[in-house]
Amino acid sequence: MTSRERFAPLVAAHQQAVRAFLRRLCGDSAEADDLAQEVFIAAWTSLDSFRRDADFRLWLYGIAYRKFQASRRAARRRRKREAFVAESAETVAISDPDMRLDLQKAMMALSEPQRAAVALCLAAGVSHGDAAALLALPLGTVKAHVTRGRAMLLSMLGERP
Amino acid sequence: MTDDSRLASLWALEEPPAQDPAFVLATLDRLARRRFRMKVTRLVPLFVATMAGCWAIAPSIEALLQSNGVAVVIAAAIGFALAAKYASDAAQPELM
Repeated sequence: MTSRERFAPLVAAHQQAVRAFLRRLCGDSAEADDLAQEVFIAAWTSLDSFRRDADFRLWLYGIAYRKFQASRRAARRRRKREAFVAESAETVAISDPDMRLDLQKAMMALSEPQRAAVALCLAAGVSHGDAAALLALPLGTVKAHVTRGRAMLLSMLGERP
Repeated sequence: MTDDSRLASLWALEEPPAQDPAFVLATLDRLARRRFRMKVTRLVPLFVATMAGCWAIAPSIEALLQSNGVAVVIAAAIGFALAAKYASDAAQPELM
């Protein structure tokens, strides 16, 4: 059996979770899918560093979050180089009252760590402890991100938190 | 509908499909291209070293050929090719 044949079931089994997580972080499905492919390639090249007793999906989430952060840093550098005024998604989402505020837009209004914590704990069902380890944040910070993020989402979606 | 179930149902709308062969194939193709690039990158120093080695031993080979040592040269070339193949196959990441 070739490496490709052995890796295909792993991609098939985890693609939905990784892509969903990245879609919630990026707010753009094409960009998220592109990053998800990079995640699987990075996973393949660093399989040796994966601890066999660890949760493979959590490990992939960790790679995905680091890839997302790297892509955001690269995008910021690109914007600076092109001398564009870097305007955060938060300003866009909140300043325009006529904009249809769906969940994705509401997600983009959260800070990156807050969005990651919400995507992991509320959407993907990852425990606070695992999310804290994965995002390299203190447990209390993750819990606060989830609580505040949830309240902000519900508030922006027109629900009472 | 509770707040959490509303959020869950909204998230479910944007969930990618559970089975997506097109995505899997695209990922595997990209992986194959990446592996090819890695392999080429790994082989470049080997190629340069081989060329340098050939250049260094060219006078000896020429002397061998002139003294009817063609069989020795062919055997050495086969041995070298096998060693190069072994080196290129080594260090391939193993999968679970």
